Amino acid sequence: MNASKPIQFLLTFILMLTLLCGAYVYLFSLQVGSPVRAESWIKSVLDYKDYYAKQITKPKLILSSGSNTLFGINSDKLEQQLNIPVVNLSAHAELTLDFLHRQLEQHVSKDDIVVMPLEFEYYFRDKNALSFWFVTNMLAWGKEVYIDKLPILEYLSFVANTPKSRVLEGLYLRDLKRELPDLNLIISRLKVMHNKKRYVDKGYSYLSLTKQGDMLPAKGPTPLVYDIYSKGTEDYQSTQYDMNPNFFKQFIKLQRMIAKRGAKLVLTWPVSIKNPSFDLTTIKHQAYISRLTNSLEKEGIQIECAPGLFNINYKFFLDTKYHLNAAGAALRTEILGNCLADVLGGIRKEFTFESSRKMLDAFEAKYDYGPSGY
Amino acid sequence: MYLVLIVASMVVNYSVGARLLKEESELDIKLNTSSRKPLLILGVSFNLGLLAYFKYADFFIDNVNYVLSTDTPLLNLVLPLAISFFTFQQIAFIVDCYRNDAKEYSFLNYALFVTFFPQLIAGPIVHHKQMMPQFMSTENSRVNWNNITVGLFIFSIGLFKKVVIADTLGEWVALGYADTSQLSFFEAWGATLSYTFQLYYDFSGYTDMAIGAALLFNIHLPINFNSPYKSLSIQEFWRRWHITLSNWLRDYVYIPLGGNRLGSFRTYQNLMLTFLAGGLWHGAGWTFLIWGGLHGLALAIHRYWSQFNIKLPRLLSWSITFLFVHFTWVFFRSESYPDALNMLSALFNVESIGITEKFRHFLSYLSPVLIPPIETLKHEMIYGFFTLETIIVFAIAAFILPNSIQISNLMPGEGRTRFRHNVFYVLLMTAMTFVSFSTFLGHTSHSEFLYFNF
Repeated sequence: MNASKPIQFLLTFILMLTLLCGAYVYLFSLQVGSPVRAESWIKSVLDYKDYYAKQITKPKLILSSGSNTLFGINSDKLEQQLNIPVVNLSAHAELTLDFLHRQLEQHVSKDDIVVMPLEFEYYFRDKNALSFWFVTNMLAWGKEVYIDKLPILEYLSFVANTPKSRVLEGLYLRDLKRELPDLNLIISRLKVMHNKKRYVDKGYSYLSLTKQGDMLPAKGPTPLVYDIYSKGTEDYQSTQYDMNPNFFKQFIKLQRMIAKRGAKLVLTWPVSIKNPSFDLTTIKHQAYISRLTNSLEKEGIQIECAPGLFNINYKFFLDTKYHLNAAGAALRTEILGNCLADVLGGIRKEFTFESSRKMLDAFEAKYDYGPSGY
Repeated sequence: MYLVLIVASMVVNYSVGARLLKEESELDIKLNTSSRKPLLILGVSFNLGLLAYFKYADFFIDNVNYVLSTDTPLLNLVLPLAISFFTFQQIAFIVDCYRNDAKEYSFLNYALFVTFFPQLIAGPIVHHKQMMPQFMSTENSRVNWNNITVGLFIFSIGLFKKVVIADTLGEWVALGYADTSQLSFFEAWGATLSYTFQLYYDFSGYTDMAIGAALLFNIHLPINFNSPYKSLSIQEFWRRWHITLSNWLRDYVYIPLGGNRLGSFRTYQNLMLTFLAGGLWHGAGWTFLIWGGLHGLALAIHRYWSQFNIKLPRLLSWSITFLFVHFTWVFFRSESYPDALNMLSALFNVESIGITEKFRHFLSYLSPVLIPPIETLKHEMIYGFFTLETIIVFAIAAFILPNSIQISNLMPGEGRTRFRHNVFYVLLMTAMTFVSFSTFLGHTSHSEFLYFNF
């Protein structure tokens, strides 16, 4: 049988498919940075945090996770509690663990302490997929900080995770310019803000950042938060069973990088609204925490602090399931600070869910400023 | 657990088959049929027992609970992947051993026959007589570039059918079937037509991929679909839809029941029983039984009608056949009997015929003459104009275009010619593969083949 025709056919197919895929990747690269709809304020927030982290020359405490830490920590208070400079690098929970790794790589030095109160979603994300939020934001503002640093295979995987409609939109908007504030402007404007005696909330903007990178709005909960509390609409992934195997792989890689630099990594719990679908006084939800802890321990990952201490009353929240208000941040900072002091001092205190609840009740009473407080 | 199950099933069936063949060769088959029969019954019972336990136990318990008002807990077993397919293939094997219609094969080849990866999960249901000679052929161990190109070509068609067509339609199906009690006339037709074509493109897409993947190893799998929606009668439909299942039911249920040899009444009865079994094979539920029963009934009516030799116009025959198949898919897809009835009543609810305000505005923009004298719906329809256009395009493709097997020249009995390695086909294959790949882009959820559930 003459095999030349089928082979010719096959080679033509492979060549044409490769050319088409190559053309697509080229078109993709043309639209990186196009001003499509995205949360570009995060770029300015991260720029400032990077700048501030670089200003600290002594061993420091770095906070890294999503917005449960952007909002829920008072770094000033934590500095006083632990007597160590603090920088809060956290921004958004949709930023992947790989993104956090790259961000930390720039800042972790010898004797630093990295504290990661990762949101529950980090443990369960689809192992292969990047979220639409993530790809669209990286394409809008993450060229220098993320996309350009990806090795070729990860870049192609990023291309595969981007819907083609998003690429077409990017190509369409390619010629438009989005002006993001440059670092000098950010620093100068924030200096003005930080010189004011009272914290001023400017919403989702770099202008709301404290010196160390926190957001501390002194406001009461929105109706959404009240609904979570009253209707029990948020389970914090507690119905999930299969943890993302990629999480373990990436976290261990991160642990190694931090250990290699002579720094220490502390994984701990995020905050959550105590509600009927996630109430750590119930056996059902305690079982979820045990399941999570056991799965992490099986992989040699220790998660610190008593989880029950972070399942907080809705009054201390702001506008989402993870965003604490200023009173909540003060409360959480004190709890976390106490725990970190123990962990760093090599002390391991055992808490039951009952004793955690009692302790949290006392903290909630202490920080309950009431509506008039705002 | 499932690996153990399939291995145990293979070992038992292979041993039973070998024993049946051995007894046949050692003794005079005519004199010793009675001594071999218990072994056959044991073998078939083992297979049906596995299927009954994993697939039908909860259905049985649920119905017993309902009838006797008891509260026996369900087993909630996860259906082992491919159990319906590998069980049927192995029943055919031991029955053929009993009939002296099989040879003794090596266990390795037998295991390959049962677990051959392209068709293991959702068919086609292969027969040992088709497969074993191919596995044993030394000719097939050589690289055949022609088979590789045809295999990739047909695989690309299957991939396109699945990811571009079936998955698009699947989103509309899920929307429509989510709450069947609220659907208007057009929404019900949108949902049901989407499902009619989703099922075809999904399952025939899988089969194309299986045939294509097998061809890479020089293995020819039997064809399973031959443009079923072009059928002019329900009998023809079953000669074109899931052909390997139809053949299996004919050879191992209908004919053993007596086929058409025992008079008209028994023939109709056998048709009904065969299709009830076919319905039940697809799933443990009353909706599947109703679906099977309706098809059995339709085949019986067709058989009765055929006696009169009255030829209907082609368009009428086609319409009756397609609409019947279309309506019965409602039972096949619905979660429950009330859901199916809701959907069927919406399909005929002429009072809910209407268009949305937006669509009326759109038509008036084009031309006032185009506005039909029908109601304006108070709610937004779950489907837009794009859905309608897309369904029409995919329907025309199923009704008119040649199918993948015809394009690839793999149709048996039509003087199989060599695949044409021309520019048009290479362009078509590249375009289909590229469009399929691009459909995957940004997909964060996975999609299964519908027949994985059966």
